[in-house]
Amino acid sequence: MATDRRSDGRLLDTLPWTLGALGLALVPHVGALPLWIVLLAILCGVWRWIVERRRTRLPWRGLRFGLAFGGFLAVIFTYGGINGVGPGTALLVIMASLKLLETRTRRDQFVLMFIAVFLVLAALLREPAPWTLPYLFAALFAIVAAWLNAGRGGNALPPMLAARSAGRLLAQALPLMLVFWILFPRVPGPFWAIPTEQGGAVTGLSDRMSPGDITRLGRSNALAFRVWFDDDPPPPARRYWRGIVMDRVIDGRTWAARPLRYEMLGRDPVEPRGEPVRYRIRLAPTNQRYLFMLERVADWSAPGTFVTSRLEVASTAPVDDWLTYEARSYPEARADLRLSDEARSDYTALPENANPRTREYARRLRTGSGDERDYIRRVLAYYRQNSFSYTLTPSRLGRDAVDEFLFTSRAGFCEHYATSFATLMRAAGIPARVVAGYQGGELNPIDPDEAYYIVRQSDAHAWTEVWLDGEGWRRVDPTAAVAPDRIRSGLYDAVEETEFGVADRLLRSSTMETLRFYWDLTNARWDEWVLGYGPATQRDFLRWLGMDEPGWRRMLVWLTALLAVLLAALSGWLAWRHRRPRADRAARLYRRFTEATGLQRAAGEPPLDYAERAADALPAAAGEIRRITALYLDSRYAGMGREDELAAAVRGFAVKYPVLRLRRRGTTGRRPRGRAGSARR
Amino acid sequence: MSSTPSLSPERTPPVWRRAGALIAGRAARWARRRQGVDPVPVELASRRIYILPTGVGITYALMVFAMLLGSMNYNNSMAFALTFLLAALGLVAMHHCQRNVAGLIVAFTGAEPVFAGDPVRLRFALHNEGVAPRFDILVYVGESASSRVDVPSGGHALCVASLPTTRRGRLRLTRYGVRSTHPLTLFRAWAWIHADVSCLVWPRPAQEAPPLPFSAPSHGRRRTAAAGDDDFAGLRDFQDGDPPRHLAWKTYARSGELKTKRFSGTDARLAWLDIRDAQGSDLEERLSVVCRWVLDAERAGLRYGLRLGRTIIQPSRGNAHRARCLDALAEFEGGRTGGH
Repeated sequence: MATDRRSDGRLLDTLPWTLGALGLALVPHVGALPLWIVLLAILCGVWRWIVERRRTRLPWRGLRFGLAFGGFLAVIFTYGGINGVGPGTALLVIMASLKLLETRTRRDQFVLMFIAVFLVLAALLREPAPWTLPYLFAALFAIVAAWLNAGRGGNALPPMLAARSAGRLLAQALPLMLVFWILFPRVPGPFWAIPTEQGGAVTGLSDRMSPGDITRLGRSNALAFRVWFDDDPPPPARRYWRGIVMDRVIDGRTWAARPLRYEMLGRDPVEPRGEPVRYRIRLAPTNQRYLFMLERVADWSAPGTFVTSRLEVASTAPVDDWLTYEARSYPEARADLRLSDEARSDYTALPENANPRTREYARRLRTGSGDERDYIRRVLAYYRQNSFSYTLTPSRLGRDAVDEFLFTSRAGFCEHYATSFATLMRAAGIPARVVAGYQGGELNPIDPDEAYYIVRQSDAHAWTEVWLDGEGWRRVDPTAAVAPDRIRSGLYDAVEETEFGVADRLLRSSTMETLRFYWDLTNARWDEWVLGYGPATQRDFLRWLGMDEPGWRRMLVWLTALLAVLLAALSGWLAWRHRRPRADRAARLYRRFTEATGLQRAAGEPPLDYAERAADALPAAAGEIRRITALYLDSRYAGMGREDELAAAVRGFAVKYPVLRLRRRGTTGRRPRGRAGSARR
Repeated sequence: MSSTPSLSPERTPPVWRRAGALIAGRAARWARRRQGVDPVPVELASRRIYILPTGVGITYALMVFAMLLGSMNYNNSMAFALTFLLAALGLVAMHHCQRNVAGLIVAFTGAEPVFAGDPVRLRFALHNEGVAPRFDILVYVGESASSRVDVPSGGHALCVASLPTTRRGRLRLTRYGVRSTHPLTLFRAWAWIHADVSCLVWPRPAQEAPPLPFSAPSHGRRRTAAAGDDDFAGLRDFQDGDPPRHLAWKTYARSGELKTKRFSGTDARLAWLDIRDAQGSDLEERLSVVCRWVLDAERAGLRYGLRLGRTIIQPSRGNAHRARCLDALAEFEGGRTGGH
């Protein structure tokens, strides 16, 4: 049989279901998979369908092995390995495609459905966004319908019946799933290493910065983090979300951060001073180790994090999942009132051979100024008075980028201003460093009880910090000197509107704005209550539901009890669904009549025969017996609607012959059908 | 199916399978003692439905378990959602599977006798009195199962299970089952039905048999001429059992009346088929020879009678007579005649 590859058309009615289910499971992967895998899947699906349709042969086994081997190698080549969701999905799709080409029997389709289930799992693991919930149900619906048909002995179920059955199974599974989901005890994982994603680059800030890096983020609407303030939010000009400090000048254009090291043992990051700002941040995965917080953070709640001497907060491992932390910042606190000579020389170092014009200009300006503060004022005035522009489309800069920017192009984005300003400071001997982070954020006002700020990648910003005697580190944002709107109300108001595409402009129209806020709120709730439903959230939620001390034992007890209740309800529903139809009214009345006569009617005995038998046995009532039987036949079989007459006649009969009724108790037995119970010994 | 003349093991099954069969046999006898013979037809009460996962179901459970471990490791809420939805589907399917079989009304409706070696076709009727249809149900006897049928609400479906036969005799059907894996093939629900019915298996007709023995003179009938002088001797009315090649088709086409051609000697020829005349190493072989004679005599249009020790069937002809003779052969207990 192995050599017989000819299709016999047996799968003609179930294959469309299987192909449909596989296709639906594949949909969210299409954008993420290499094009050749998607094409392979489509090709194999169409091929298999044509084979079934035309009853031609399935491809030769050697070809299938060749394709499998080639596909495996190609996946390794494309992804550089087979670990992780990406290559795993690719392999699943290749498996499904080739399995299709050797699917001969109904039962082979089960294998395909198992693969489809894993494809759904892969989609959920890759991108657990709110749309995956409808996707989950749609895909499972298609899979269950195909599964139903794959298990059929005869023809496939008619499409509507298959769809109804699948929908019913899913609908009945839904409450059980909810109970499982809410009550199954969540434990803090992981138990074993999660394969790290290769090539899973995330849009965001990095620890190196050249002109143009942040400009690229300016057009990204991707979410960086959400912020909930405990009290009144600070004004926009104070919302500097500090992340990465870059104090190493690599060359004329690039600044970089120092390697992250824990350096502040036994010392609080800052001395509290003034009023604190309390807030909670939910950070999207960055695959970097930096956390973003308001300046001068004093304490925060994130396990596995530390603070560096530059007051960066970093995690010991890359943040590859959503991270929530609460923090407290003291904007008025001071940092590093003293600076060692070593640090001072580090913070004023510049490469010897880069940006000569800038250094020359700084030396001249410094000698013409009073103290350091006066010099800073003059530098900022230089930006203001020389028609610098703030733009998302700066011209490309060469090796001496700062020279070109300050004296030629004079158009740039925040990183141009920050690096040029820091260079001017260092050239004048003032300790300075560049800080990368986010600035501002947009209020989502939809739910006034839980208003929060949305900080996007387009809010990415770079600014500088200079060290002043008696003051410590002070933030100076040269961008504010050129484009104060950027700081006050965000990037969109600060650059020319024409710099954004039509889609971006449309997104900011007022209707779309509202929709966008609703969507973000949905995402926020989803992140918090669905994706964030871990051990802590589960305990809180169950406590809110009224369970005291929700430990795993109690959860399991409740889980079992609720499952038992739901399954009992399901069982009851099924019994009701398979119930016997309620007998016709005429039939019920006639049965009452036969009980009243005390003469049992044999199974299947025609009513007229019974009437004659009864008339013989009870001659006194012969007239009534015949009349009632005639009424019964008229109502039951002739459709003459004489049930009311019949009812009256039967009632009259029962009243008129009470003696017979008395006899009835002794004579009528149980219904003659052989139930299993009656056969027991 | 426990029957004296049924399945002969052609290859020795593995030990675990034999052990399983032994346990199953014990369980079957215990269930029969406990339950007794079921009435015909029998309604399958839900408490007598057994249910276990199928191979697909076990694979499914392993998949769900692996997904649960993965979800716990990644602490991924959506993976949990998928895992729990699959687990819930399995539980729901289990209940559907059980209810699909429970409440079904089943009856054995008979089987035509067959020659030993031919499969016997056991017929069963399934009746669904409920308002919901039932799907993919089959009847099985031992290893043999009928094809799967759907039973509409308030309707019937017929199932035929073919059972191989090896020896003649009375084939007793003591137990059969009804099962289904609807809806998701994750579970198999089944019920055993204890029956006390039987059907006959005729002896296998011998391939080569000596020519038909003809009646002994003691019966006072004239021995007719040898075969071959079938001279046409006119027409008579058709009788049930007349061989088709003796029918006067031309007359039928002309007049619409079915007539049988008479040949000289046809009515007069009579054969007494006696087990003692049959050659064979044992009783079964001799019965096979007699069986062949019965078929040959019937085909040749002879009148024939049967002598099996004390059982004597008077000469006659026709399908009913033939069946009576074959039944007698099937049930003949050779030992009492001292034939060996």
